[in-house]
Amino acid sequence: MKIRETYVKREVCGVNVVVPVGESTKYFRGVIELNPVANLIWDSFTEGATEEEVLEKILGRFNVSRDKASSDLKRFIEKLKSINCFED
Amino acid sequence: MNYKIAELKVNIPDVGDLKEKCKAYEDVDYLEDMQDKNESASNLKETQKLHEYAEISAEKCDITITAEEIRDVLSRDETLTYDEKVYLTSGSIFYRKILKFNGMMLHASAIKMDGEVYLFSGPSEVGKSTHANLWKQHFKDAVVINDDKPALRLIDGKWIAYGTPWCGKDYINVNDSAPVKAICFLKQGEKNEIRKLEPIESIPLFIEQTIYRLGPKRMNKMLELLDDILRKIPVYELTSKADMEAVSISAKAMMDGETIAL
Repeated sequence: MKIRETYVKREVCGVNVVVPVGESTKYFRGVIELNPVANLIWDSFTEGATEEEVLEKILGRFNVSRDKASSDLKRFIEKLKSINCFED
Repeated sequence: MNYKIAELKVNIPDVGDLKEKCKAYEDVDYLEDMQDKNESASNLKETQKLHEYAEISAEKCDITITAEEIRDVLSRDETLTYDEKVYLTSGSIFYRKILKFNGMMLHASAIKMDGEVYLFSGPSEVGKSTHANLWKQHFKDAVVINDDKPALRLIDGKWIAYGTPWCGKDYINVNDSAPVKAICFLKQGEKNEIRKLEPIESIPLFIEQTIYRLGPKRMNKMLELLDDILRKIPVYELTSKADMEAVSISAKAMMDGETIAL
């Protein structure tokens, strides 16, 4: 799954923010602030990783159970899908 | 016609009432050049050279705004007159193009005083102009260099605020500039108070008050500039009753860095 380029992410003064542009402003108006886990997830999906690959990355970086990481990741993905973050 | 705006050479067409609105920003060097050429143009051949010169001049500009561009993206707000649409649209085009020159627009009232600029930003009708007027009543030497959309540019590591022809319907502007000392976002409230904002709080406030209809590359550039502003310029939030007390506490904070609650 790949994140659309109409969601622009950049670190601003220590904060990882995402801002929609163009077509994506129809789905979301505002600024998303990514915490460290969300930032890792976002960067992975920007490169076009699969959900499984992202889960393994999270488990490799953070001290969390597979079950918790998996359900949190699924919930985050649903949130991103609801604002049309992923390319078709 | 060539103009000098925010230290950039800008070519702007004679559309709507732009010529009149941009008069204070005419590029003196360009005018003197054209005058010399005019004096020596004595026949058709020379007039042709003049046209070529005008075209080449446009090419030498940092920013060129064309009549076609303005027409292509002309505001569709039917409550506005044609001149008003041209004015707004040309401004939007200018502020998009200055990103390339480390510049951006902030929807704010820019007050110059003692060689520094204080910016008061926030949504329309929140009281930016009111606050600027009260500030001017209190500080007699304060001047509003742009009451609506000052240009901010990063020049040699410093953020400079500029007056521009695009300054709101009351057309309050001065062709002047100075380094930015502090930025303040306004909120209406029952009690006057001021506090310093963390980046996480000020980022969405900035994004709301600048050009957001950008493509991915330009948005990325804008965020890069915002990162620099936030590292260098203190940002405050003022809850204001729109009175003199609001002026004194904002002045104390923005000039001296003191945010004492009254």
